Amino acid sequence: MIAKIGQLSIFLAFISTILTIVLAILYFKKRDFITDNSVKLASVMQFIFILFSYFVLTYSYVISDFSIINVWQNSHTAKPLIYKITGVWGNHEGSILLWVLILTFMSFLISIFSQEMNKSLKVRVLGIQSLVTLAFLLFIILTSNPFLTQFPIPLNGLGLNPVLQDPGLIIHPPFLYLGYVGFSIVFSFAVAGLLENKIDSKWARWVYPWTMISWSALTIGITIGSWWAYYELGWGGWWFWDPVENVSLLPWLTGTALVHSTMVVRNINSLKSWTVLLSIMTFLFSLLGTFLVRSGILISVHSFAVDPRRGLFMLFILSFFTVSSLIIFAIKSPKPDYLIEYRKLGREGLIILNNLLLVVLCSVVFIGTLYPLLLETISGIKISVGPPYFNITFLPFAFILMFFVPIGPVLNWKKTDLSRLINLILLALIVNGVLIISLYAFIDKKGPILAPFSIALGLWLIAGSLVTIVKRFGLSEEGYIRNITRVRLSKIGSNLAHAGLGVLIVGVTIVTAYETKVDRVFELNEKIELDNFQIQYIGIKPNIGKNYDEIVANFIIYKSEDKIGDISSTKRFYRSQDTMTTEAGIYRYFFSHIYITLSDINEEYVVASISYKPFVKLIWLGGFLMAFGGLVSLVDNKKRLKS
Amino acid sequence: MVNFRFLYLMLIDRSSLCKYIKIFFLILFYFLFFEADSLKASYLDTEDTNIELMEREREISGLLRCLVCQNQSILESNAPLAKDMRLLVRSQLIDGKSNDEIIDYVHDRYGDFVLMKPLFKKYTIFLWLSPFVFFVMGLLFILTKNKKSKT
Repeated sequence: MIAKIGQLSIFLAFISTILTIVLAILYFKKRDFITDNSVKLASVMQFIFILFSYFVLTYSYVISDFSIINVWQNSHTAKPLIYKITGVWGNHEGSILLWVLILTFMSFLISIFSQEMNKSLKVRVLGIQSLVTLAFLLFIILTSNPFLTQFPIPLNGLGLNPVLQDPGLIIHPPFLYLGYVGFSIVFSFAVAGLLENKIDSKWARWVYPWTMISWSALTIGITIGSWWAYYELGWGGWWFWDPVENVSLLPWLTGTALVHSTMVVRNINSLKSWTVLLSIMTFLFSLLGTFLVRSGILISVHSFAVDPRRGLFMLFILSFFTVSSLIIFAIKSPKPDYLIEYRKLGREGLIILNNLLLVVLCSVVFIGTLYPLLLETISGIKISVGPPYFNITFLPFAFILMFFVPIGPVLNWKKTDLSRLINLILLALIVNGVLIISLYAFIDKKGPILAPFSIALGLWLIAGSLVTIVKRFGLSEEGYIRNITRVRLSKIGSNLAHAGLGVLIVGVTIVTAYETKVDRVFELNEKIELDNFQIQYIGIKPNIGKNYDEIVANFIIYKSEDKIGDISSTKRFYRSQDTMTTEAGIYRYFFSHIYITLSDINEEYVVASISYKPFVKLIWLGGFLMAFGGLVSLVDNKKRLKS
Repeated sequence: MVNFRFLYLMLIDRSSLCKYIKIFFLILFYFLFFEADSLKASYLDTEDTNIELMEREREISGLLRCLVCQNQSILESNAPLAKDMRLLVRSQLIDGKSNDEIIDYVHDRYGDFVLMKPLFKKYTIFLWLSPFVFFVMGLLFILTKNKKSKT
């Protein structure tokens, strides 16, 4: 019964979507009969129906209605309530429904809140967004219906993959999707702007907040994903250059380029066709990522039950939007005006350099991820492209980029301040040189030769951004802030994001270069040395949880013979799935972690791998700071829209 | 091979069995089936060997792919095959072979797929060079276009 209601609601949403598209087309044919309000209303209806069906699905999870196949396959009565609610997006059908929910939510926001926006642009945006929604609704109805029922009704469900029963799962997918799908509205803006012939600084002002919000959400999503992989998968790594991670990085890299190039359009009405192309590409990368992961072409924890029809349908959606949007771009793209209007040594020049580097980084990730697949299809030769490849090809460009990041924001728009630029580059060289030399002198640990370079660049980013922020506050000679109301938050935000990148780089480098790891057998009560710590294994204890049994191995941490804490690392059996997971034990020491995973347990000894990860926390702190900076920069955007 | 699933379900789903018997079996279960003994032996053997060998083992393991895993090196993986391959690396190290010799040895046995860092060959030229070519092309494009605009 419940399933029928959910089904009906999805169908009604489908009709509203078609209605929106039809109304939007009619709006341009017969303007007298159709107003933009009717298009808006139809968009709002899409959102309401999808929201309702989403609630219905969640409700069936909460009451464990196993007559619905999707609930039966992915839930269990013994599952904690919170995982029943979040488990909705822990499977293919549910997560696609969440995807559509966010798509329609974006339409909803546009309909309700963008009152001052040009009406015909708005109708076009809603129409194109509805086209995307329509494609995904068809996908749901034809291949991934979450409301399919079964009879007889099983007594209990099959349960959720234990790896996914974790707080990380509660927040990782929604943010990631908000990012992915958020770029759909940017895509709609780009195509609508092309059709309207209205790609200008006003267009950029409208699209900028959406770009920024999506970018921040994607940043948070990736950061949480990395954090979750770190403590849940038990490998102790925070980034694996795994294909699935890589495809989420593609829209992030072009999205980062887009955030910057949109500012060029907004402020000096230049670089327009490039920005539109980036907007389109970013969403296409989001679609590509979804296709690659969901089709099962890339195998990972993210690929749920594989059904070839789904892959084919996703491929169809991807090709349709790629071909149609690129054709529209080819026909309607604004003249490459940037050839004349930008100055190569002003701020826009550095943003162009930033875009070039980010696109090259994106191509590194793209080629590194897809090349093995392509090579195997064409010639049958199987190769692996692992972290060593990415380190060699990714890092040089990333280093160049970081060198210039703090310089960009202090240059002026549309002005070739050559002497200033030279001075700043000299300053950068001196600061980095001093930092590198002192780091070489200061760090007494053995590590890669390049590590101090990388740390220096990270510190340079942090310092440069902070100095710019302090300058923005316009301190008087006595050190008071002159006029706090006139501080432009957008400038503070962007510099915070840059500082966040610096924090990230410092964390990444230190933990990669100076991690200490011991991998061995621990006899009972044995003490071993690890960096400045001593770690003692004090025995195992069995334990029974709500839907799992576990064996907990306990360790005590000493620092210079004083006990500073204890941690436990666990092997867990999930009863309903009959699978085992490793729960890493993490001891937090300021920004550093001591990370313990078990490989084998016995009564007298354990085989464990223990590592000291200095400053590893900075990685995620940096990620969050970047996203936070992005959001801060939006705060005074409202004023700009009115001006 | 013992059917784990059957055995385990038998242990767990008998609600009449009291908690402690269950725990006892759980421990026994580990003890019996996880072949910890052979591993223990191998770890204990190397305890006296110097730290340099351990570090080199880690370095080499990071470059070799675990063939049955999803994009993991044998350093990160806990799969039985990865452990076997690490033992292989270790025994070769103890035999006094150099890093390159060991990687070559594993490469000969398992093919290109085992190398995390792809070789520079005819069919990987594009993979290795494209980023740098793209960068130079992009840079040239921007610079020449800008020159034109000045005239």
